[in-house]
Amino acid sequence: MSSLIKELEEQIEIDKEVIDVLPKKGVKQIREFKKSLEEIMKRYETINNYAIAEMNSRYDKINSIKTNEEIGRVSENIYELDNLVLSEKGQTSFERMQLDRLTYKINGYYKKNLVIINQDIMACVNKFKEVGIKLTGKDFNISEYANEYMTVLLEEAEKGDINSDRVKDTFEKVYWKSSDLIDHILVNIRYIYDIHESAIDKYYKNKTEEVLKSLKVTEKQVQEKKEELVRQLNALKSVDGRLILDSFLNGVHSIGDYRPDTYTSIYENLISKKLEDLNPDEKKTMDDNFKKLNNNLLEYTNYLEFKFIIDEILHLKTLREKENAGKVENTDNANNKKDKKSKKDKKSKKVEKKLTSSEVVKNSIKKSFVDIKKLNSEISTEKTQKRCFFSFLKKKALPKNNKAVVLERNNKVLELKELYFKLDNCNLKDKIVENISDTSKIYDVFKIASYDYGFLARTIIKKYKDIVEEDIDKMIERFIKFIRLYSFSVLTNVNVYEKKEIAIVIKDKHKLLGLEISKDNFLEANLDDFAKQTKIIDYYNDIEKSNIPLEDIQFIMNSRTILKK
Amino acid sequence: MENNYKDLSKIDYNELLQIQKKASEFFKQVSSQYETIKKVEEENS
Repeated sequence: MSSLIKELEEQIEIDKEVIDVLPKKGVKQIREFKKSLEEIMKRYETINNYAIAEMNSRYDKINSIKTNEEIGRVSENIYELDNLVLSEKGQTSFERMQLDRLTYKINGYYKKNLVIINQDIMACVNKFKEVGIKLTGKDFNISEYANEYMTVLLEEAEKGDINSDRVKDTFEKVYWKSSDLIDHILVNIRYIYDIHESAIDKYYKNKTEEVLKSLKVTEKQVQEKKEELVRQLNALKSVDGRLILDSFLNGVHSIGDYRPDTYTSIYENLISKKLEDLNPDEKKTMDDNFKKLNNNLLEYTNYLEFKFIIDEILHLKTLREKENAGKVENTDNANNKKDKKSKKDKKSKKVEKKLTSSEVVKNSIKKSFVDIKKLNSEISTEKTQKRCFFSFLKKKALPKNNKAVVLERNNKVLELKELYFKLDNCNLKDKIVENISDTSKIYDVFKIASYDYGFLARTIIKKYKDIVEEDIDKMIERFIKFIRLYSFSVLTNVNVYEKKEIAIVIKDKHKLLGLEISKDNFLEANLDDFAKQTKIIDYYNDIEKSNIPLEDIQFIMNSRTILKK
Repeated sequence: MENNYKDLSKIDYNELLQIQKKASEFFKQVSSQYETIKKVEEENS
């Protein structure tokens, strides 16, 4: 015990005695007693203030620790490699612009308010801007409704207020003319992409070349380079004092689990030996084994959480293969039945047979848009305006017969929306069949899934019926982060059709390395505890190698309530 | 006596936390007695 604590304890005892023996009868004695209490209070208040000041100073010094800047740089390089180079093979430029995520969100407009919808629409507009395409009201020409609303929204966005009264008033006015307004905008965004698709593809091609040049890697070396960067990132993050401290401050880890005696007890239990019996080299080897086991368990627990995504992909693969073999009706082309009945389409029917399902849907989209364009021309009342597709911009009352044309056009827009959904499904199934084979690894299947936001969202909803949108977003974000920023060793090696349980594969490997683990550790009831214990050992070792001592973290966690931090 | 606690920069975390805890707890105890005696004084006057 330090002399200061001893001195304090002794003084407290003295002051307790003083308080006990001081006379407290009569007005005068009470006044004197009160005065003595004030003096005693002042003494301890002063000592407390000195201690608090010192605690504050130490807290702020520890908490001022900064993240290693290298982490940001490596993350940025991984992002560039992943989004601009590696995604090229599995993702369309539509997905790389994240328009799949944004249009999925806009499509669920009935669950949201106008503020969110405007943000999502403007996010799409900004994505086009990022790839060099500046949209104006004139680009929203699918209908007079989309044009009127988007012209105002874009004008107000220029002024910096996408939720201005003018936007709200215009929405109110246009919505009552057509409650399908948001659907019109959604279809219009899809069509704008179609028009500019080749230019956008070219933009990404150039970007890819730029990244390859700046990182000095060839296309063949990209995967290897990314894996190297991910390993580097994980190594940097695992010993970064700021990140470690934040993991405790944010409640990811509990300081109570990180006591030396807890560490020793878990360690000895899992190796069936006394820690003191390990020499430094043996301890280092065992620490490395625990790191590998911890990584494998993280992979495994994430695999279990997202296994339903693999099941869905494999289900779609089987479905598409049956469709291709003609065993079941091709749902993507079901709408073409009517066309096939038509005699005059007999010729084109022969041609269509040779086309893939997605090409058939693409042709239907093109045809549908030509029809809409034609109907929009008819809606115009003046001959001179007929040449101009945007003629409805000149406001004029529509003649009565035009109302029927408007109705027909509106129905066509909704049909077009359905066609785009069919195209998405069709493309996904084609992508699955093209990229997943009997030799594919679990990671390959996850990777394909990670490129399609709409598929992920639909699959999550299928699994968790009552899930709210915010949680869908969080789950997708977690899944994508796992797929893109993890250094895999199990899922990249285990075949997706492998019958042997992954848990057994992991257990067998680590048992050979001297860890006392069994199949029971992997049982559903025990897995969380087992993963937590392994995590504590590995994280404890990381803290010891980091630039923040465990006692600093303990001090921060023990003093933050007192200091009201 | 208080001046001995002016510079606590040399002691370890545990001791610092203990000093703060002990001083603060005893201060609270005395404060409570002080409030009681203050009330008695007010009632008497």
